[in-house]
Amino acid sequence: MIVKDTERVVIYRCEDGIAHLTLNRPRQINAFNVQMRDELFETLCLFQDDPNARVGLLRGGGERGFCAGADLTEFGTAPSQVVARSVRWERDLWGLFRELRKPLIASLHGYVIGSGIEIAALCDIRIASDDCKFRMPEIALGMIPAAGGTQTLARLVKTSNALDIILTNRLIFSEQARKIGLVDRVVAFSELTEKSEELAKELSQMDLKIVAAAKRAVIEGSDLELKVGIQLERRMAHILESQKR
Amino acid sequence: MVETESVQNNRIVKLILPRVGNFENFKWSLEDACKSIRESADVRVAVITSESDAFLETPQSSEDLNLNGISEILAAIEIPIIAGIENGAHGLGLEVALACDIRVCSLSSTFSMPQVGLGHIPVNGGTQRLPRIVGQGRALELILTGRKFDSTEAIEMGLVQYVSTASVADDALGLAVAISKYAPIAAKYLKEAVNSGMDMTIKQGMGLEADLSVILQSTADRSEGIRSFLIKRDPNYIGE
Repeated sequence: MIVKDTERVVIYRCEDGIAHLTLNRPRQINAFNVQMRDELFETLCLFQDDPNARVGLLRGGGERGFCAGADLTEFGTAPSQVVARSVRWERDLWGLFRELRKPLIASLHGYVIGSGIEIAALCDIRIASDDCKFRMPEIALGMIPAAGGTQTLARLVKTSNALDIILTNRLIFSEQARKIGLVDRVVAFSELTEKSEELAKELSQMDLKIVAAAKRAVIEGSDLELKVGIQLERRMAHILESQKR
Repeated sequence: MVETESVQNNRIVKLILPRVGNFENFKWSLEDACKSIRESADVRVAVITSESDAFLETPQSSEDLNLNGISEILAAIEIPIIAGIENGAHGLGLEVALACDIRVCSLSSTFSMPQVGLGHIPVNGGTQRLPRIVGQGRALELILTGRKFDSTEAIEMGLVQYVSTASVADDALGLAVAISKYAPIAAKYLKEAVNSGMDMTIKQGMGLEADLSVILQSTADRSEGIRSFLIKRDPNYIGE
């Protein structure tokens, strides 16, 4: 049985160009469940369409962590593999992350486990407090990461580090996460909110069109042959130039 | 000849690379060892160590150099492979180590890819795997200069995942024991998702991941994993 939280599990607030997206199941350390999947999908659409939002800041509510991973109490509720596969693509939340035209920052603290890491890996920039504990427990639980982690982690930290992290279920702390490229910046826990908002503010002051073009060139380009990626980059630059005139 | 030893009720196979005299014979024995790993229903993790200072010597004669595909014999193994590098890994030895999934070395280990200076290029996957593991810029620098580097640099660039302060063999085995307790089909599928996915667009890779993940939902081990987690006991995976 799935018990729906009565409060929203993803909260959205936009202020001064910064969209604050907050995972809101603090008692469960923001464990990812079906309701969160649906609300995160809706909230990302809202962020994309909100004319006042220039940059997104994704956080986990509460003291204990960003996200403790998938809520296993809901696992095995899909009636069959056929249904499970079609549900995966019905609302392609992970694909939606990759299609966002605005920059999205993940601000991480405490427990960042399983799908918590995968969600962070789908954001553009990861800023972590110095108290983070990262871990990928899927293989230990009889499954594989299924929120894009097998793909995004291999690209962020390269294949051997990704295999190591996922195969061994090892615990990783903030500084090592930064060294291997899992996060981009580490700041003191007490400064996480301030530093994250500073970064968001910095990005919010940039030209949205240029930010979107740079994002698209990098993300689409990484899937292309270099020569074609360079053509894409030139085309984007030409479009931006022609819009200035 | 490659020596093998089964431990932990056949769940782990240890492969020991010799100092090679005859490359032809060596290749046959490696093929046999890897084939029996692939065909075994019990083996969950392989650990490779070496008696050679280079992990595997690079052959001197051009005839032996044409004996390609040594790395591919290892790479065809679907279960996780851990390389325990006691001394160093150079040339062909480094290429063989790159075909493993996780590498453990010692504080005093050194590494190099010296082929270009010797008048040829790496022919056992080195030009392809090194950039995928450490990035293109670093890989080109290492292959073009052939310079030696140490364990500190190796872990910083992601070439090795662990630098052992005590026994490399014990630490490599310790990792293997930890992985062998996890769900074996999931471990194989993970390896496939990561390695095949890197050759795809990210969208295709996510499609592969989703399909493999859905197939895993039909395994007894996945039900065991969730059940044991919810009632807080250690899982007992059977590989089905």
